[in-house]
Amino acid sequence: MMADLGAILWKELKEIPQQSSGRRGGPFALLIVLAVFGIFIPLQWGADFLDSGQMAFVVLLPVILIAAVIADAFAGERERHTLETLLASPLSDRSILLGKVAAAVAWGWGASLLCLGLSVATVNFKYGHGKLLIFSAQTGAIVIGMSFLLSVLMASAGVLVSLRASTVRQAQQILSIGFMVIVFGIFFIVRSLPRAWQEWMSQKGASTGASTLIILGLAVFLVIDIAILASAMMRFRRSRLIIE
Amino acid sequence: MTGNGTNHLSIRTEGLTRDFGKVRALDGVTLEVPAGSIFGFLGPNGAGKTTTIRLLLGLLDPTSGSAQVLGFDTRTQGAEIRRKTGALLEHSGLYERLTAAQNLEFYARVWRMARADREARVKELLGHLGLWERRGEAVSAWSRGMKQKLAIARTMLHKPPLIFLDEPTAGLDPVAAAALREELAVLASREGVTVFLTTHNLAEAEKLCGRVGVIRQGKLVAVGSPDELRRREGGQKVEIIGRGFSEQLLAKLRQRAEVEQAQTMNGRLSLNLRDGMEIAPVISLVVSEGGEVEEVRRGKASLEDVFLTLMQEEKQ
Repeated sequence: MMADLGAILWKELKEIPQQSSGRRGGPFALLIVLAVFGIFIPLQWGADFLDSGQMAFVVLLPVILIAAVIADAFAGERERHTLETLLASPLSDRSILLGKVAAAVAWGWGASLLCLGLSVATVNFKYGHGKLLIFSAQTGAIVIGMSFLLSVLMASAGVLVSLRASTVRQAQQILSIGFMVIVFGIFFIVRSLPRAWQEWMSQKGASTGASTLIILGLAVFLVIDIAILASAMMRFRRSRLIIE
Repeated sequence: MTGNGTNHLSIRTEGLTRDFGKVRALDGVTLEVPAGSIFGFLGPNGAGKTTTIRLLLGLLDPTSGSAQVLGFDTRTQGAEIRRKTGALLEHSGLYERLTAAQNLEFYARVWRMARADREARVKELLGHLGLWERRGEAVSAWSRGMKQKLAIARTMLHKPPLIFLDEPTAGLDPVAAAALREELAVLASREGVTVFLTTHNLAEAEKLCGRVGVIRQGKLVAVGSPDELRRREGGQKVEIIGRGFSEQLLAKLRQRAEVEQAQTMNGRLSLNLRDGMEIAPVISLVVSEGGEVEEVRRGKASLEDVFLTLMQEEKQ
């Protein structure tokens, strides 16, 4: 299982950087993202950067990076006629699916961690003056934990959509629309709740400790991740994919 | 190494049937492919060739009947079959963004080849096919013939005892197709591999295959060596070059006991004579009916003649 997963991971990580901008353009685009979010913004913000709201970009960066490549996972293989050959290999269904999810997560979350490391180095280089500047444990838990769980969420949802879509473009459209519906849907649902409920929720939030809220948030995302990944695994059937 | 089957057979099917909704794509195919042979599976488009390969690889389950590949049951041991076989399906299945070497490296990893083995094997196969110098190029820049060669190398990477090739020369120009056929024959013989080859190119089947099966609308209608099938067609083929071959003459020829089939093509009179029949009375008839005979060519039926006859039987 691990060897099979490793083979898929190897292939995907060779292909993913070339997906949007060709052989050299992909890594170059990533370097620009790292330079902007890992060097330029921390330099502009100053010593407080590591515990500021700006760290939210580290959480959202993998979502953006994964969204750009995950539609290709199965729809792209189908479009370029490589899927049937892949399915005719001895790789198990699980290793093909998990390998693609793992590769997308490695790409997005890996970039996010690189960006985080780079921003810490930048802030210390410019503002440290011999003292180590680092984010708080809470910020670290949110940034590292949540960016991982969001990466898995985006990769699993993307793979699920890509399994069903007949073209990459169709998969991208479904993902974009789905993403907007979920984000704006949550916003409008919360706004449309009765005033008393909204006040109760904000009071409850304020009275609960920050650590508890973080753990609760991470747990909710973990459950969602597992549910989406499980439904993608149920959807993955060799014989169905071959006929489609 | 094989599963629990007989070692001298690579493939054995019994009443293999597959339906897609109300359409019967494969209808009771019973077939045996001996180990070490090149078996040609002939049929027109939509006859069921690709479905057969998918069933044999365990990618689809049969609606009824059974199949063993290398002794493994296709219903329950698909993964073992795929581990011990190689397949070039309808499309080359190459990753165009990757280089030739990376394409082979990926599948070598899939087949869990040790690092030293896979490096040596990639070099050996690419070298043999004349592609070693271009191993670092992205496959997208390659011609279709080169891609097909690389795809064939991929099928043999892990030295499987059996490979499936689904119309490997389709879409190639005649020169590239002939070169690929030659490479394939040499590789297959050198590697001692059993080849299950689907094609609708009859010349290809005749050159490459020790045995062929003909499939028509999902049914296997003939199996044997090309010679056996030609004998089955029987008689001899006669081509008369000249002028004045009227419809009236054709009608009279078709009434003769010697003549099995008579038709004109591009001004030439083409006849199939029954076994042991003399040509002289037929030529006399042609001349007496006003035909001018310049040349008479005699020969055996080709595999193409057999194939066309089998396809015409269906229409009749």
